[in-house]
Amino acid sequence: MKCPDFEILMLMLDGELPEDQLKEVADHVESCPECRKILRSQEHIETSWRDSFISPDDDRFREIEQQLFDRVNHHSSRKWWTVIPIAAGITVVLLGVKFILSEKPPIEIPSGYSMHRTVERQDNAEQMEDSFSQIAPEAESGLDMVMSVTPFETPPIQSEDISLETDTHSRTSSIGYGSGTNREISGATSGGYVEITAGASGTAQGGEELLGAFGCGDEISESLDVNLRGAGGAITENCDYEEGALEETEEEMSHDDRIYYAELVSSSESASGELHQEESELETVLSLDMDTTGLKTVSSVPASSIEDGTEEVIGFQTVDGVMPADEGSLLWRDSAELLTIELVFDINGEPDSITALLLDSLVPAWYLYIPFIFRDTTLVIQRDNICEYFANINITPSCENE
Amino acid sequence: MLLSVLLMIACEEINPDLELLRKAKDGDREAFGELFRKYEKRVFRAARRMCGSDDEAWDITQDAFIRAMQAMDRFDTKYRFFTWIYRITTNLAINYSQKRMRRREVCFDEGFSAEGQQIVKDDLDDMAARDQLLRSIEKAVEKLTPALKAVFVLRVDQQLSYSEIAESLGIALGTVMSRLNRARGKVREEVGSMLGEWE
Repeated sequence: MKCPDFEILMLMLDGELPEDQLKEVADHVESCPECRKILRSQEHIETSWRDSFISPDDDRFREIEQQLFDRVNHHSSRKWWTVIPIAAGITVVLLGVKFILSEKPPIEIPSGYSMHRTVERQDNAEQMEDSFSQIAPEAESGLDMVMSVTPFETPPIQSEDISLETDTHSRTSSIGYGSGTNREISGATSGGYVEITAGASGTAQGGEELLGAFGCGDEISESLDVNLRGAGGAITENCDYEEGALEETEEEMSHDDRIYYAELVSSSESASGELHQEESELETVLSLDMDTTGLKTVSSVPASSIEDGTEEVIGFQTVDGVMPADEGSLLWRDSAELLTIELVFDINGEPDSITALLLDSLVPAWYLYIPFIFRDTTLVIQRDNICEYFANINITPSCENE
Repeated sequence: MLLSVLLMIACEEINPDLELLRKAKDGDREAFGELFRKYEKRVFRAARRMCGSDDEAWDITQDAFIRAMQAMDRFDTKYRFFTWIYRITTNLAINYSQKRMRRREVCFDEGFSAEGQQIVKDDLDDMAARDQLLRSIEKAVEKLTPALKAVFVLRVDQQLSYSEIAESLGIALGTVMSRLNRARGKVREEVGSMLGEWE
């Protein structure tokens, strides 16, 4: 056996290597000084760091606990949860405003944001560099922002990665473009950290990431790991895709002429994102907001933007600047009387976030352990009920197998 | 009957805090206090590892529990409390680091202060080498992007399993693996030249 990859050794170190591989790898490590050296040094790094931590005294924790309840008492002299209806009321008002705004196609860019910029498709690295060098400083100027990107109309396929790194205030923004697998993509940031996780099917090594102010992903061919289509974005230094994967992608990636753009709004306290697809009158799909607690609120579904008779596939992407990203996809079909939602799982059996969101309302958490039950399942929801379902995240749709 | 008892036991095993969570959701402060005391150290430690100072870590710890308390009525008890509180902590730590970056006060050499100081027990030579290694690791971790840092801290420091990290951060298992590998790669890169002495 040749030396296993670093990732395999780390899986072994973490006790996460599947049983069927464990013996073979362990036998190899036993006889391979080089692998042992890697494992030993990694273990040394990690235990040194872990053991260096000294927990503070309990007294300090008791102070914090007291302050915690004092702070809550400050807001309510009766019961601590009575603050929630007030907050909820404010939220409802805000969401109402948001909903009204989102009912007007096309979507208006909220006021008060520092930037709204469209980046046209670029054919080469130099042009892209120019575009982003203009954007990056503007992105830095505001805490919150909206950025719209009109990216490539066809999949940007390059045999070489193209990237530009801009070090802005101890933060690196990288841009470029490309497609393939196992890559991290980042772009001009919104004055902070923005992450978009794209791609639904995953790879053996794990998911794809688009890091940056924009980007979108879609699964084009089931036989491929993940393809990025029409994505604005960039490849950073971490493009450790395997040789050959790109070629395969080039061959199998289908083109279409839809235009995608991502729109992000983020602040330090909350985040939301939308992926738009422009084709005739068709526009936004769904917006999803999360607060810092990670609990999700689907605030609006502008069903009016879904035209009868439009047969369309709409990618959906939630994006946020401050929290772990979310991902998912919705399939909107035919006369749009029905919302058809495919439950999507990656090859590791992990549901994508929309799938997880939907399943959350249907089954207990243990579905994670038996995802195959729901494979190839499609949920169908009446169009008239879409808003209601999503607003409550309490979906009881009928399930039917395709 | 037997089946329902078994189911109850299974639920408790999956979610050991179920009873406390139910009470806390009903507004039982003592139950929430118990949850706080159960997880306070882990939350503080995760926060301290992800942010720039002890002060920030205390703020994050308190803030995380306040937010959890205020959102408790929306929390679904089929999930585990500790993964949720890690998630809030991570989000807050990222917020803090963003704010810090906006203030342009990032200082990689800040190092641990007061309560975060490393333990050095060996003789002076060892102490110097260890100190150097730790500083180097600390610096490397500090440089990680928030997403990579969160995964690194939850795995290496908090020793969560991959699936627990995935649940905490709301990301796919594969993403956990890829981020962890990149984070480890970057740390090794930084520590690089010092590794020889320890291999």
